Amino acid sequence: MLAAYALPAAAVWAVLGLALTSLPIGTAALLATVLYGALYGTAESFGLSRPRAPGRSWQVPQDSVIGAGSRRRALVWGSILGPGFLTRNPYAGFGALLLLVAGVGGLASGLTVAALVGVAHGTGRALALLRDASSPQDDPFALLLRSLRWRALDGLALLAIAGAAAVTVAGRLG
Amino acid sequence: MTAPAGRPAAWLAGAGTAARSWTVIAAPAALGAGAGAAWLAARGWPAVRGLPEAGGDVRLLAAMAIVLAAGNGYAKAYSP
Repeated sequence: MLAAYALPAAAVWAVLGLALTSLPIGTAALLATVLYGALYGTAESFGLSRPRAPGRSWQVPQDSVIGAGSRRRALVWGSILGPGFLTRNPYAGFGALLLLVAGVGGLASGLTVAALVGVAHGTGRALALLRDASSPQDDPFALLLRSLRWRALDGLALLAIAGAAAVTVAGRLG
Repeated sequence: MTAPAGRPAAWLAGAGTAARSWTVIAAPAALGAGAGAAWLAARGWPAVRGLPEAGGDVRLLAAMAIVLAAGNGYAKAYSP
């Protein structure tokens, strides 16, 4: 199950990392990371409803998985959910990943970091699904509160990344 | 943790207010911690080596991206 999520994610992210780091946008991407992290980090950590995290609202159609075998189900879910681009993501941290990969600079390091980001995302997603399968959460308020806490934590992480990116970009420009 | 029966909106509003009060401290601390870590990383941890230089370290940002990706994937399951 972990491989079904992590491998497609690594492949998709590696291709994306190759494309992003082949463009001369490293410093601009770091500058964008500072602005993005400060804006969305503040909004999320303070519990503001806007701006909403950028992304799609699409969800996997039921007929893609209903009646399918376990292997096909894992393949469909893994290739769609593992990379994380196609389905809804309520946390703005996902958008920062693209900027961070673009800001790494250098084809080899960009490819490596992007692939590792993909593996980390896909593995995290699969572990969360395994956790939910072993202990389903039925209370909607507990689910909502937990989502709010994750959002605040995501905001604090974005602020830390904004601080680190600001120092890094200042060094490049200075 | 469950909301009191009949008062879920007030309960959630209270949870939000409590979150914002500690965030006043945590948000600037997170920003400063990130900046400080990048500053230290670029200097080879000067407390040990005493080598002041300008700039940050992109390897730290790469490590942060990987941790953020893992957390994002894990947290998404809690999305309502």
